[in-house]
Amino acid sequence: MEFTQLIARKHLRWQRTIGWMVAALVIISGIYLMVGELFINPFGSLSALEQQLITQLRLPRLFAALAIGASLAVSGAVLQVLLGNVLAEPGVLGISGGASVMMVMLMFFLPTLATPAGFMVAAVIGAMLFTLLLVTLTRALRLTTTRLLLIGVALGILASSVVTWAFYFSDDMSLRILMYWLMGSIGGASWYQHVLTLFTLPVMIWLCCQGSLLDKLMMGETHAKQLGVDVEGVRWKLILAVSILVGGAVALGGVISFVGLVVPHLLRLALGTENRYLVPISALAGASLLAFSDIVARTALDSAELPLGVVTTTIGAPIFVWMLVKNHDAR
Amino acid sequence: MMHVNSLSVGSRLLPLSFDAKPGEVIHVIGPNGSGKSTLLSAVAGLLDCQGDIELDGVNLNHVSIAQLADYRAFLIQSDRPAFNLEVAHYLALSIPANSANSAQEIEQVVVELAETLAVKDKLHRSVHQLSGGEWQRVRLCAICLQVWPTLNPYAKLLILDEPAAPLDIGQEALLYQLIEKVAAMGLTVLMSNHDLNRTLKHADRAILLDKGVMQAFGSVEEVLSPERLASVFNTPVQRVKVGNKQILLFD
Repeated sequence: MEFTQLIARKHLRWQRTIGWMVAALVIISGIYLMVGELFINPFGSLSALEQQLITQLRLPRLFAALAIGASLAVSGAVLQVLLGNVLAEPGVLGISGGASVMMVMLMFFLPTLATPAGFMVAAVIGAMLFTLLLVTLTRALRLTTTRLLLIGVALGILASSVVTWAFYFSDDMSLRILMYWLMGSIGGASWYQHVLTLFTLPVMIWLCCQGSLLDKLMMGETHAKQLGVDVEGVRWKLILAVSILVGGAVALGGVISFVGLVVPHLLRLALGTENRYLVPISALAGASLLAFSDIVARTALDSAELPLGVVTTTIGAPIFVWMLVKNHDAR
Repeated sequence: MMHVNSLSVGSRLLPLSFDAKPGEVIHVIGPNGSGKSTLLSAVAGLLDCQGDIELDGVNLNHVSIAQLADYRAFLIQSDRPAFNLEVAHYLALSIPANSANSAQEIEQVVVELAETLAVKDKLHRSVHQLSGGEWQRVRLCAICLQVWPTLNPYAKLLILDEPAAPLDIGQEALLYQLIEKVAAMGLTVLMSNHDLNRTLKHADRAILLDKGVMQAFGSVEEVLSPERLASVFNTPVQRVKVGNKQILLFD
């Protein structure tokens, strides 16, 4: 029973990891709610101020961190399959940048539509345009990993330069919003913004259920097609799903890089490539990582707060360099 | 029975027709760029084409991609996935999704195939650690799983594009044993091939292509006549008898 055993053992390992991840997520979330400017003891009775602090500030912010982390990690894992490239990531490839550019445009040209829902739509459209551009280029020019990354990084720089341009045409209020997007921060998260989460959550769940399809796609497009996958149709659906996730994440917290790269990649290295498990575990691990990063962002400095994007970049960029040096990409 | 009727792909493949019986092995031969892969892709339904392909009374032009996967399997020329998956996982992905077989039956088939192709000790390895020949045998193993009659009762056709290319002569022998086994179970095998002596020995019938035109279709004896091969491949060809085997000699 060697074959069946091998498969079964693999499944067991994945399922155990899911258990660990859920535990880690719960613990980190607990710590998240406790620490901060004011330490809240979970075992004592809560004062009115502490209750306010938790329900109006820390809880919405925690949920924003979890939603963004899970969205980015899932979209990273899916994007890697979609582009056939283990180093693809929405932040590094400029897709998050595309989303922020569209949001800037909306803010300047159609200020009446600048509501969370309006920003979400703009961010999704921006993310979709950039994803489409990348997918088309990858397919038409048969880009290697290196060239795809270079083009993506260039697109990202282009996007951030557009946002920087916008600095010089903005008043105080929009300047703050711009900084917020560029650096990535969830300091201002409120319950109202979680309208966005309601849109991203079903998409995330849908993607988590596409494991076997992603597995087939992962083996190469022609082979997937010969195995009965309608590759063209699936590609469109995945592009739309990734765009919604990235758009939602950017609308919530700005450009936060490296989560979508580091999380799925390390999981692949450690456990393997079964997307059926990899995508949901990426969601859990991404959420945990972002919650952890936000704890660091909130508590690392005594009097001020670091932007969340800076913390994830500090953690992620060295790992990215290590991945490039170690040559974990296949081609 | 498979009937292919005036199948054509733009100017890459001009209209051609042939038929094949269950259990028959048909080789597609011809110089590089003569349209062998185009023909195979078109028959597999992965390429837009004109003409009809009929498999046991089912017209494949009107069948969805998902259903096609039940009727035929198509091994394209070697490509390695960008992701590092385990061989066992790779094989598991090719097991027909709607197969109602028990884990034990599946295990049996996998072990039988892996033993035939001598890759049983590679099941736990990851695909990036395999040599070219090992990877090709793993792919053959997967493609056979997809149409293995005990797992997939609808399977009728196995299409292989240059399956022997990365294999050494010993592994090639394993490949032809496997093809014989598949054909004996009632599947039609359609494959392109470069080694004309192998065609002479193992094929029931052959299709000779040149510049997208079918030059000949029929029994191997007939199609692989030295004169015809010499004119298509532009090189002198002799057919000699050694013992009671026919062998083609090239310059």
